[in-house]
Amino acid sequence: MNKNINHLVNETLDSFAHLQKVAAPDGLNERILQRMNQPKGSKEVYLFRNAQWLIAALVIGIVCNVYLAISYNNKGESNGTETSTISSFESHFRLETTTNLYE
Amino acid sequence: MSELQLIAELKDGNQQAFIKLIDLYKHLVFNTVLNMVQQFEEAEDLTQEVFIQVFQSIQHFRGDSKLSTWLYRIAITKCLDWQRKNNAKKRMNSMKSIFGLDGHQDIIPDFVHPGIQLANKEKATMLFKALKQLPENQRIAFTLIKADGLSYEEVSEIMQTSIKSLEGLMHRAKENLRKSLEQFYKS
Repeated sequence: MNKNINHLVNETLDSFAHLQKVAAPDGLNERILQRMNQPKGSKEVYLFRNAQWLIAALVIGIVCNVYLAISYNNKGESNGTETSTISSFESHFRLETTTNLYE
Repeated sequence: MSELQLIAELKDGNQQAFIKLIDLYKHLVFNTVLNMVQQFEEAEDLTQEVFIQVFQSIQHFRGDSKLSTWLYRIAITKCLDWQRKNNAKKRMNSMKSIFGLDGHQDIIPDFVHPGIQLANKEKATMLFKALKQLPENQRIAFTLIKADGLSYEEVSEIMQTSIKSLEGLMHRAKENLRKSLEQFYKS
């Protein structure tokens, strides 16, 4: 059984021995030249493709900022003080600085 | 026209010289790419890309090696890039299918080489299938030596490695192929 499998494996490993070369498809030259002479995409399209990542990063940044601002604002409201986003930020940090000073 | 003349004219941007280059090497490039990617349409597309790459970077060709060696190198690099992109695409599709998105997996039929003799057809198809599981370097070495019929010297120059390490690669490739073929015949 093992001898039989070994024989089959050896035959399979040698099966490329008489592999004949294949002719390249007809009209390949023309298609290569056609592709070479094709105009490349315009500079504007290229710039936009690269810029879209920048736009996406900006959008994500803005969304994160808004989320943080709202969450701080809500924190201020839950403490019973209605503060604006900036002032809630300020009070948060001022409080921390003051406690650190007294420590 | 000698090879040096051809290179000089290619560097001058002569389109006739480029057509001559395609005529001289299209079968060589196509066969190498076909043996590597094992898909007819993809092989044609990649062959086109190889020649476009040659045209774009002929100015950087220093002439340290033969033109054919340089062409083999570009062809192999293109095939590996294609393989990596293909693998990434497959991974993305399987991820999509996990999340229930439209991630259909393409079922690629076994590759039947058109230049294979009828008596060897099944075994060669099996060998091509087993080759896909080999690591990149082993696959390149085995394909260039066994399927393209190149010598160890030529392949070592293409792969920019010593003959000693190429022999090692071939030994490991044969061992790995033997293991997967044995598994197949036992099952």
